[in-house]
Amino acid sequence: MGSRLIGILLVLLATAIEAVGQVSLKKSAIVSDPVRCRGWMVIGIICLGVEAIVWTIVLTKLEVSIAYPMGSLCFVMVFILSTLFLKERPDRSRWAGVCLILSGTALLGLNG
Amino acid sequence: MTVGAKLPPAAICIGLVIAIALDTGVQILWKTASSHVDLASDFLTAFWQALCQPLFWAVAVMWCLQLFNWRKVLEKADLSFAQPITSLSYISVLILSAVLLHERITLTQILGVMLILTGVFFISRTDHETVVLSGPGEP
Repeated sequence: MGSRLIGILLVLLATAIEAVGQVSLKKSAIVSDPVRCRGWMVIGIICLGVEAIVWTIVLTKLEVSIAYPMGSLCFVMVFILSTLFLKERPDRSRWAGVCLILSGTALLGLNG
Repeated sequence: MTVGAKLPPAAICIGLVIAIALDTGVQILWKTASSHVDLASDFLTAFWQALCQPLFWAVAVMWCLQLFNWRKVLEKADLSFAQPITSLSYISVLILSAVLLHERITLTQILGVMLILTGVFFISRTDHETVVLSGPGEP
């Protein structure tokens, strides 16, 4: 498996981990119970820490000008998670936005 | 959508601008720092190499600032609204990676980033906070 392909797969892994981390941080910002708030925050920070390690490996394999915009896949994952777990209610416009982000990311993945 | 989306409050806007600047700085520094990590060695050695790099510490500090700033933003805005806005940093990262790191930028890449930014526009056109749905079982 080429170094580039591994890099792209690791980008997918990193974005999934980040999405879970982001949703946890949002949860920690909105729950009122201090114990649960801290719990969500710890989960969020652990996710972001693991993501940092994965991202460092990604950057050794891909140019930052490719890897970073591909990280926008995280929006798609956050979009799904925040709809499911935070009960945020996205409208049609946000759906269109997510589709455009997916197409842009696909182009970046095909590049080079 | 009704007459027009409300503009988010000033505090959210300032927080988002800071987030974009920090995101850009973190990525450029991180890419520079990662070139000092030798993946051929085992995980702990590579991890130790990273810890000995002042650049990684700079990344970590900026990242902590970002975390603090981000939490402040999220107290006031929806995650699915706030996060896409920060993707404006794709433009700044693209420019700085070409200028500072001499990465080659292709037309496909620019097209890809433009599609992503159009997506960002569509997402940010919506209001900054949605009404929380009532729980299951409620009318």
